[in-house]
Parts: sequence; C-alpha cells; structure tokens
Amino acid sequence: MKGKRVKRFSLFMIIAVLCGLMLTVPTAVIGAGKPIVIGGSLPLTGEFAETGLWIERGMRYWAEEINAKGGLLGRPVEFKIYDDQSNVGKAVTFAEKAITVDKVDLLFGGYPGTAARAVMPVAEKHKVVYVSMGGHMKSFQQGYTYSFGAPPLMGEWWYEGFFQWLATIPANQRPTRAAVYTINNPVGLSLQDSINRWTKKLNIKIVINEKYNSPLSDATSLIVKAKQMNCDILFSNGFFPDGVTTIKAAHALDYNPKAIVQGIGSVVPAWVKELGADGDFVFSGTVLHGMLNYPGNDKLNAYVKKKYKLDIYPLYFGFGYAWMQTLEQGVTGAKSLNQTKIRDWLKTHKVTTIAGPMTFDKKGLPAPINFATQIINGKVELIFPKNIRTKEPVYPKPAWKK
Amino acid sequence: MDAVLIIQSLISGIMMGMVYALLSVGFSLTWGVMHVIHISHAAFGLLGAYLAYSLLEYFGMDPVVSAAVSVPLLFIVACGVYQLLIKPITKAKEVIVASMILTFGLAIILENVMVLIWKADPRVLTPTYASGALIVGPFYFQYPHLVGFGLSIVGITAIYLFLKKTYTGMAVRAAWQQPEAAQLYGVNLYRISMITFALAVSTAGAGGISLALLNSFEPHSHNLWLIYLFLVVIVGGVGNVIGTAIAGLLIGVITGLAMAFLPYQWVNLVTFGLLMIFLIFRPHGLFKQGV
Amino acid sequence: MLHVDNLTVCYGQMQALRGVSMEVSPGEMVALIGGNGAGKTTLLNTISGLVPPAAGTLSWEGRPLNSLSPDRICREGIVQVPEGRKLFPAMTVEENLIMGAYLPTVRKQRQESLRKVYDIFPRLADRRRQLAGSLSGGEQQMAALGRALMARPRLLMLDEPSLGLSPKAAVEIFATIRRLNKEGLSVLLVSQEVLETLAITVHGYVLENGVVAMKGPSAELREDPQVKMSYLGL
Repeated sequence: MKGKRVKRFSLFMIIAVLCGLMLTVPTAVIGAGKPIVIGGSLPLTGEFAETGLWIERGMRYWAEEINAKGGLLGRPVEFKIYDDQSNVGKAVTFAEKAITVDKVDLLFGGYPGTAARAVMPVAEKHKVVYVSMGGHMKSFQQGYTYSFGAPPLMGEWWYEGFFQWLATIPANQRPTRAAVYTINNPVGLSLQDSINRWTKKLNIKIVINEKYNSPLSDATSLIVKAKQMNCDILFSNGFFPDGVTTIKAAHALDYNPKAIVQGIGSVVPAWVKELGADGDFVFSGTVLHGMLNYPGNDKLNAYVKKKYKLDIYPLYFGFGYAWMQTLEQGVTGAKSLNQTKIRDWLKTHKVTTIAGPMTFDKKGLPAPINFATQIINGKVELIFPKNIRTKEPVYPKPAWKK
Repeated sequence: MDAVLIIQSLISGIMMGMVYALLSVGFSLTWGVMHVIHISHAAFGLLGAYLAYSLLEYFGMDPVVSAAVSVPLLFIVACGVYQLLIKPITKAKEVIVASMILTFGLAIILENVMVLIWKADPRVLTPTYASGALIVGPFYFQYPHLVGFGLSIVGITAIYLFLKKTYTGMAVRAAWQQPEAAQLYGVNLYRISMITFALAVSTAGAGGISLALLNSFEPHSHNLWLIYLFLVVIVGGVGNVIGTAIAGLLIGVITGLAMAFLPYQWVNLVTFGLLMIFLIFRPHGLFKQGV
Repeated sequence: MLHVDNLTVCYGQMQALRGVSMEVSPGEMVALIGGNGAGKTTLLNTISGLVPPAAGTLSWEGRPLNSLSPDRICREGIVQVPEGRKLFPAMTVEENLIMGAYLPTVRKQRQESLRKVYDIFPRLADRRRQLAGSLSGGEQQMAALGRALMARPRLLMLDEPSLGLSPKAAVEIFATIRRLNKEGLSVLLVSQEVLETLAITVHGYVLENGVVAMKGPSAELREDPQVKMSYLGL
C-alpha cells in the first residue's frame, strides 16, 4: 500500500517536472533545431577570477553575435560553463565531465596556461578539438593533434617583438649588460628562451641570471645586485605580484637602467591602475591588441566602450572572442560537428581572427605572433612592428620621478 | 660578496621580519590561550589591507591613519565572530581540530567576500611616499617598509604592554596558564577568550596593513601569509609574544642573508627547511611557550 | 552563612556527591575530611561554581548560589585555594597576588591588600619578582593563600593546603589559617591531616563515597572510634 503510493507520487512528480521543462524550452529554439552546446570550465572564482570573467564576456559576445546572425550551422549556440575555482585539477575534471557526461558538441578553451595544458591531453584522449592559449611551447610539443593555439600565449615568443625592435636601434645605444630575474615556474622559464637567443645576437652580456621562487617577498637585493653590476637592462620575468615588488624596489633604490622588460604582469589592467606612473615605460609583449588593424577589433572596442566604458577591449576579452572565432570557422568550414573533420579543416585552412590571419602547423600553432608593447602614460601601447605602432617607444627609460 | 649587499639585505630582512611578527602575534595568542588554530587569521589580516586600500583610494587616508579606524572596526567584527562561531566550538572535545575546520571554512568565505567587494585583481597600497626611500650612506630604507616596520613595532609593543601591565592582559595570561584558578578569582573565561580573539584579529589587521605596504595582495594572498604565520609561531613558541617578535626577526634576517649569499631559488628552501628542522628537533619552538 | 542542602553532583553516569548537606556559620572554621575520591574537592568546586549541581540547593546568606558562574561566586566573597595550589606558573609572585584582586570590587584596595599579604608572609615580599613556578612547595602554598586573601574573602575554602609540604611548612600554614580564622574569617578546610585539622576546627564533616558519613563537633569526631580507625590509623 505504502509502496504503491510512493510509486504513484514519483510518477506524478516526474510528469510534473517534464511538463515544467517543456515550458522552459523556448519555442523558437524548437523551431531552429537543438542548440549547439559548447562546454568547459573557466576560473570564475579564486585567483584568476578577474581574467576568467573577461574571457567569459568575450565568449558571450561572440555567441550573441552569431545567434543574431542565425546561429552556427543554422543552430543557436549556448554555453555550459563550469567554475573551476582557479584550480587545475577541477579544470580537468570539468573538461572530462563536459565531454563524457554532458556530451557537449564543442569544447572551449580555459585559463590560465597551466589549466589549458592539463586539459590538452583530455581533449586528445576523447578526440575533441580544443582551442586555447596553451601557455608555453612544451604543451604544444606533446604530439597532440586536436589542440590549437589560436592565438596562443607563448612564453617563448613573448619578447620576440621587443628584441626585433631593439635590433632596429643603433648598436651603440643598445644596452650591453643584462640582469635577468625569472620566476621559477614553466611560464617564467619559457621566457628565457628568447632572451638567450637574442642577447647573443645583439651582443648583450647576461651578467646576472637568477631564478626566484614565488612568493618574492622582497626585491631589494635583486635590485642592489643589478645596480652594483651596472646592468643597463632589467628583465623581470614574472607575474604581477613579483613584478610590482621589483618595480617598487627599483624606484625606491633609484635604479635606472635603459630598459625594464616585464614578463606577464604589465599587460594586466591592474598594472597601470595600481602602479600609476611607476608602471610607465615598462616593455613587454602581446599577441592581441585592440589597436591592431585586423577586422573585428573596432567592433569589439565599440562594444566594450558601450557596455563597460573602456576605451579598448581588455586582452582576455579578446582571447575569449578569438578562440571562439577559430572554433566557429572550423565548424562552418567542416560543415559538421564531427571533431576530426573540424580538426582536419583547421589544419589545412587559413582562419581570420581579431589577432590576424593564422594557419596552423602540425603542433596546432600559427606562425610566431609577437608584438612589442610599452606602457606609456598609463596605456599599453604597441611599439613594434612599425606598421602597427600606436606610439613612439620611449627609450632610454627616463629616470624615476622623485 | 660585498658588505653593502649583505647589509642592505639584512635591513630589508629585519623590516620584513618585524611585519611577519605583528601578523603572527595574534595567531600565536589564540592558539596558546584558546587552543584555537585560527586559519582565517591571515584572511582577517588581508581584510585589514583591503580596508586600508579603500580608505586610501576614496578618502585619501594614509594607511597609518586609517589603521586607527579599521583596527577597532576589526575588533568589533571579531567579537561578533567569536560569539557566533568560535564560542560554540570551544566546548567541543577536540577544540584544535574543530577550530581548524571551522576557521578554514571562514577563510574561504572571507576570501570570496573580498573577491565580491574588491574583485580578484591584485592591489598595491600606494600612499604618497610609496616609492620613496631614506638614504643613509650607501643604504636605502624604503619609506613604505619603514612605516610597516614602525607600525609593527608599535603593534607588538602594545600587545606586550597590554599583557604585562593591564588587568585584562594579566587575566589573558592567567587564563592560559591555569584556566581553573583564573575562574576562581573572578576571570570570566568566555569574556577573556572573546577579548583575546578580537585583539588577535585586530593585530592581524594591523599586520595586514603593514605587509600590504611591502607587497601587493590579492584575495587569495592569505593562504601564502598563513604559511608564514605557522613558520613564525612554530619557531617562536605558541603564545609567546617576545618569542614571536624574535622569531619574526630571525626569519627575516635568515631570508635576507639567504638572498645575499645564495641563489634566489634556494631562499624558500632555506626558510622552510628551517621550519622542518624546528618541527623535528624543537617542536615547542626556540622559546618557552606561554604568554 | 553557607548552607548546602541535599546536594547531588554527577560526572556523567557517576554520582560524585549524593544528598550532601552541610553548613558553615560566620566566623566558624569547619573541617571536611575523608579518603581519596570521597568527593571533598567536588564539593568545593560545586560551591565555587566550577561544577554544576544535579540536584539540591546551595545558599549564601539566604540567597541561592546554584546557577551562578565562578566569577559571580568569587564576587560574593567565597574564595577557594584549590588543591595543588594552581598558581600561574609563568607569572611573578606579585602578579599572582594581583590576579587575586582581579574583581573590580576588590581591585581598588589591591595596594592595601598587597601590603597585608606581605605582612603575613614576608617571604613572599622577598620573592615578589620571582616566577611562581620557581618557588618551593611551602612558598607556593603561601602565594596561593596570599592570592586568595587578595580577593578579600568572607569564606575561605582550602583544599589540602599541606599536601606535599615539609612538616615544618605544614605547621606554619596551619598556624596562619588559624590566625586568619581568629581574626574573624570563616574557613572551610579540606585536609588529609585529620588530627591537625580536627584540632583547629570547631565542626567537622566526614565524607565517604559521596555521602556525609558523620558530622559533629571536631572534638567529638576526634574521639570517634570509627574516625580513629579509618583516618588516624590508631
């Protein structure tokens, strides 16, 4: 008797829930076919939340745009985004879940590089195309065929643009002695690659070459050493917190090299906001920029101006958008959601993104992209190559303001 | 190695060490007096740093001035936290374990609240003197470091005098040494625990402000700071104010010297190797426990 | 002055005191004797408010004491010198004494109280800067007693004041207690020095397994064959 009632009650509940679900499905979607679900995870809380949110905004802007145009392969797109809480392990779990449990149609790229690198083998195992930043060269040297960096954030390429620019100034004005301080992690170490190649080429002597572990609680002795050894170029191959500590110490100790080159930290909006004038004249790289003369950038800038009151879209907004652009062209090119077909199309065709046109090699990488940037008057300016220059570089760095 | 580098590293180490000491002294007290290992201690410190940041940004208040506002504020908040969360678990059988689990949760909540209010962006405390330095001969004393150092000395001295010279401070020490006898002479243990806890949280706030004068911070920075808390308290002895101060200085000096003499990537190895050695050979720290 | 009526105290399932009744009159010195585990310390701790009673009443000058916290009971003038002294070992002798005058009611008179305690125990004055943990047993007992006096007690409860002391120090302590009583202080004395205790008290209670086995004037108890056999070893 009791069992029967329970059964009847559950049956009633199931029907009620199903009715409810039907009501929530918009009729338009039924008409246009089942939506294409794009799944994966982003760090929406925790350490990398701020960046993760901008990537999400970029992706959502892309979806808004494509749905307005009638969707992908005639079907609307929607996201299933998990919050991996800035945790690499969770990013992997959610990627597995999206592929095997949710059976999403497409996978989107994550952040930061460490998470992307860990998701790449998962994508390869399930034969799912994965477009992300990758993080550094090693992640693209594992023989994965379904992973693409479009564009990637490649430590090995990060200073290419800077050195190419440095090569253009007369040899007698170039720095001659370099102090290189590098954070002891894969991203930091990947920055050393181009320094080693180019300093040899430009006849710059590496006088100090030291690694430090995070956290860098004090940079006083770093700066004292660089100052004493008369280093006239400082490479601070790290992230925001250690970069800030180093810059503040350099100012306080009145260390004035000809150039300061910063790893990842200086293109983050917080750099300019938090450091103010002290953050000026620092060189770095980038693979994306709202001022680049590629189709789409103006549109994106106009969008963030309207929606977020920003003059130029943030780097990671661009990343989120560009990865989706690549995925979109792969799907439309292959005219299918078959992952292998999408991969094969991407490997053999050119894609056009806001970061420029790209063709991918065996590793899933485009030709090295590298633009030199310098912070000038609180703005990330493009200084090299010359055809995209937004401002004349300031060199040598003016002495610190007292 | 030349003398300037060594001395400059020592100067930095001492200033940094004193700041660690202020950040840790309250952690040591709650652990010693209440047997509460307060995992969210550093998160409260970080809250102090954020308050200083906002007060500087919106009202132009110097961190030292705003400490006069935010530190008492944290004291009141901590009284509430004690009544709501900590007091119920001090009756538990395994107070240490229960408190660690509870305050670990509290730390996560605080971190997310800070993300909501201040976002996950890294922040830098930049008062007007942020990048100035006092130059004495070949040596540089960065102003923010000096201010953080000064704030820390004031904070530690205040805690020390409070414990030594005031009745309430003496009751805190009495409650830690002989809770039963303290009660017999009129000490209300819950009241004393609340004061200890709130005072500890306030010093964490002051320590957080001092540390923010030295380094940048983000909502998750407290996890890192917590490691230093354990390091200082384990070297200095649980509940020992002077021990905490000396341990902080010692760790600062060792870190400073390691930076002068060793490749930088060995510095953390040396510092945390020290922690291991202490845990193995002197689990009660360099100094006697006790307030 | 102090009335204990039909008091029962439990530690979990175990009954430590069962239906204990006793009283202390003003100016009187009362002895509480009994073997180990008879419940003497439990009775003192219940009066002090450290242990909650399961049943029965405690009253002080006609007012109930039952649900008061230890600090409130101390405020009433009921002060205990706990077993094993329980000094604050890492505090100086003087700090220990000052802690005795913690309550605001007696705090104002602390300089005066301090002088009085140093008068009674000049040795404490010599050792005032020394840590309590470094004192000898006799000095520790003096400090503990001095700390209790700082609280300006009206009823002083002493738990085994002579435990672990040299015979000479024990005699000294008992002499002091007696003198304080002569000056008008009510005393409840718990001790295993049965002969000595019964010699200086007026009334006595014998606790056995949590119940009052015997009570009466101390002089009578001293002559009781049962007491002689069990506690005096005669």
